[in-house]
Amino acid sequence: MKKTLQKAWAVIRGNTQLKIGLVLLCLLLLTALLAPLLAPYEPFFLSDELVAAPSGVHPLGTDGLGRDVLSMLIFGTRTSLVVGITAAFIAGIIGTLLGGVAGYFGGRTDAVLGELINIFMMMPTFFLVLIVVALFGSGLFNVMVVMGLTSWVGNAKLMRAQAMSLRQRTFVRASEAIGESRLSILFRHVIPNGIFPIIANTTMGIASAILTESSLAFLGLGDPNIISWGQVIQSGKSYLTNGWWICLFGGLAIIYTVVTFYLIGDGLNRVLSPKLRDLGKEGS
Amino acid sequence: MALLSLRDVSVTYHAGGKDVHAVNHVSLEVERGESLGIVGESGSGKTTLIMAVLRLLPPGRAAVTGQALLDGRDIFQMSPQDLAAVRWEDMAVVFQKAMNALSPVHRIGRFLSDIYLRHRPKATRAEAKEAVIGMLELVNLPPRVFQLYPHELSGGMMQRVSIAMSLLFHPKLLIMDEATTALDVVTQNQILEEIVQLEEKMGSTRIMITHDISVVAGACKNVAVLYAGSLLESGPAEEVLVEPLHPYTQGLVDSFPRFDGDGKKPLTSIGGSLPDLAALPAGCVFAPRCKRACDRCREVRPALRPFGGKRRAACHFAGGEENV
Amino acid sequence: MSKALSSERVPVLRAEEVRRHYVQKKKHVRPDGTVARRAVVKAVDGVSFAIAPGEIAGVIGESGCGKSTLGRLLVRLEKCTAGGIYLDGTDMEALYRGDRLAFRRQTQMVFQNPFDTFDPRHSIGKILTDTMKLHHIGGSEAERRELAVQELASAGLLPAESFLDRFPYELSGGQLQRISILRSMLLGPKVMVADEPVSMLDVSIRADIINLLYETTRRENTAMVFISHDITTTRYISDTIAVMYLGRIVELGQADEVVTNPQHPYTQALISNCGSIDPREKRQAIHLPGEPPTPVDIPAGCPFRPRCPRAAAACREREQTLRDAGANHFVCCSQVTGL
Repeated sequence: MKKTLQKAWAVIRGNTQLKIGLVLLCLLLLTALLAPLLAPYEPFFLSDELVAAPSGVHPLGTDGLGRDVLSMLIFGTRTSLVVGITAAFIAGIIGTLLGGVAGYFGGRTDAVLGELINIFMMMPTFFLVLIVVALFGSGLFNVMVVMGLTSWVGNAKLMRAQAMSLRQRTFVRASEAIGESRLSILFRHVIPNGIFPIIANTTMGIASAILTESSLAFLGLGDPNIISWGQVIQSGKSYLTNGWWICLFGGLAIIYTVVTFYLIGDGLNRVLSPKLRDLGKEGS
Repeated sequence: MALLSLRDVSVTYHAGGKDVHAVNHVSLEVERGESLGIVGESGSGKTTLIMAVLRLLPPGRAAVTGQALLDGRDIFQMSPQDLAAVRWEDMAVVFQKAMNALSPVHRIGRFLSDIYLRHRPKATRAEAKEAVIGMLELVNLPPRVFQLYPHELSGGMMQRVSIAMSLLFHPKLLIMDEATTALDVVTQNQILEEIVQLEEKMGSTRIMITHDISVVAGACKNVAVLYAGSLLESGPAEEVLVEPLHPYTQGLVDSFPRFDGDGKKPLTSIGGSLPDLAALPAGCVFAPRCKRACDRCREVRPALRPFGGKRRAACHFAGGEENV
Repeated sequence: MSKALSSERVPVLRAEEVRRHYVQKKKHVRPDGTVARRAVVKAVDGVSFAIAPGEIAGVIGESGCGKSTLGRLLVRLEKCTAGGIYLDGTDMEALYRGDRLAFRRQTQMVFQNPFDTFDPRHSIGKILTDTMKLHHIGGSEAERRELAVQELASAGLLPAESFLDRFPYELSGGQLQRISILRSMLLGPKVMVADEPVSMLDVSIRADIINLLYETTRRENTAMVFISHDITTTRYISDTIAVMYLGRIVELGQADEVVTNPQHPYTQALISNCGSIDPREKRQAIHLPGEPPTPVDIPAGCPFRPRCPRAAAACREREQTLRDAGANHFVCCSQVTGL
């Protein structure tokens, strides 16, 4: 265990993107955890000062209802992280399973699942989310699940390709010859050895889920009971000329988070790329 | 003067905070018209040595010391322009995977002509075509290969094409790195025979890197045995492979199943495994696996000593016990 | 390996007219210039033989001759397109469908690439104990670990305990191949298929692996099919040798007999090209015209005809079959055996 951690640390130290991304992520997580301590006001507290410019009292100003922008952004971190991580996680699991089954089992299973993947690839995801929200309401849970259910295609394609190449590897054949069942091989050998690009992709998926959620909130389709960054921007939309700080800081928060997850995702991608992981190949 | 003369060549890789000594103080002479087989197992440094001579090692990661004199000029000190001229013209290489050496989207003829024209800018396309087809014929390929794409060729034909490509400018030195290993025995033998005949015709010199002693026995006059980056024995193949001076060479020869006589003569292995190249033993690199090793072997690294004619060996025991 | 069922020894494994064809769905130009939409690759095309318990049968041939496919068919990693393989007289397909685990215990395989035989994420201890657990060997995890240590020690991997927590990439090819052999032998198979088990190993350690295979299968009376392109090694370990060309067995007989007295023109060429490590020994290599063929669109009649130095007009039409050329030496060539 200690060895693994040491190795992980060495890897992180060697990759600048990963290093920066993880530091940024730590700040983000701390903000989400310590929101009540960090935020100067309750997020829904309505002060008397409407559209107040940034000052000592309200470091990032207030919005049209007199709410403190900084506090809203700090509490909004929680929403964004929960939405992003849950949606990306659902997409990661569905993509891994479908892609793994299609790629490893091959044949007719692959033909059917391959078509399904193609259908979902052509699906206009955002509009699907809009329709579901319009039909079933805009609760945060709905939004997360729908985003997860529609954004797994990339993961499935990656996992399918991984499984197809792993299927040819000797250790998969050897496991078959030793008597393991195909399902056991899929879960014990194929998925664990092929999961790395999906991990990297899922990390980036968090960023795009956060963007989608913000877009929904911006369009007024977010959960009205929960503070989110999209909502902040939406509320600042009408004050672009006399209250630029509302939209600007809301936007910066989104950019910060998206960049964080992209850095980590891209860093992971480089670190976990198969070229670096191919150990034990011969060479003289 | 020897065509290629390696003097005290060492290659060190820096990996994971350690210095990996892939090649250690190798000195070798290759005379004109000679054919030298460099034999070694994985980790012997045979490929690294040749890549160093070709200056194809990653510059930042591998430190090369010593001299590699080609016709008296040190390859390691050449400017990139001189090097570009020397490669192809003076020395050419054939690798194991010929597929990688050819462009998949170009016809064989086009690809080879382009190389020809790059080195002979004043030549016309027609002249290039003539030269290429001539070379294809020399390696027993029909002229129609000129019009084909690499994927339309079999492994043997592809390897012949890369040999033709390397011979395009009649290089003084041809280097083959496991060039026939991937082929089946019948094709391999055929190509090796053709190369030996070509050599007699063109008077070229060849270095062949391989793990297969039978290839050296069949197609090389001289042999050099590498182990853990060190040259342990060298000399005429007919002497070295028949009466090895070094216990490692003897071990290698004994691990080959014999074809003639009693096929059931017990096979023996050399026990143990290659030493850690980042922490080489102080004495003989082979001592940890050597049955004859004594204290002196573990303490003092034996120097490569001459043993009459062109034979050299690096073993305290070689030539009798009196040296121990 | 014998073609007919020898009366005195009951075979443990019997293959009857085994075929494995693949359909390639890509455009393909036949030698006569016509274009086909799909190509049928006849990797194994009618192979019959039998092995007695404890017998070691070598299969030699060039790459693409179907020897590795045959190996995979024998352990049911692939399904026969036609024909049948019988284990102790019972159809392998029925055994596989009946009780997969019980079937796997009877036939085992050692693969060519030891560096890739084990999941890189699992330690050697886990690899061995998981195998035992799967086949209900040993009552507890501690017992299985104990057994794993014993097995490692018996295969010469010492100190055995130190291997349990190491990962495949930390071991050498020779060590990994030993573990691969001992893992397969752990299940007490009746038939072992070794597919080029030493071709990726250094020459200086090959003999150890060959000897380990030889000793363990002899001790357990396990029949072994030893697949290789290396004639001298195959002769060293095998009792009988089958020579394959384009998916068929062209010659079959006692190992020494096949190597020293080859009858089929292809075997003769193959053996004449076999390398020697003695430079003084110059054998006259028989050259074969043309390129090594691919198992697509195999010509009718004798498949070796286009490259055969002895080809006659009759070879074009006549379907060749393995015939006895005397002394249990079977040859698939009407020029040799007559009609």
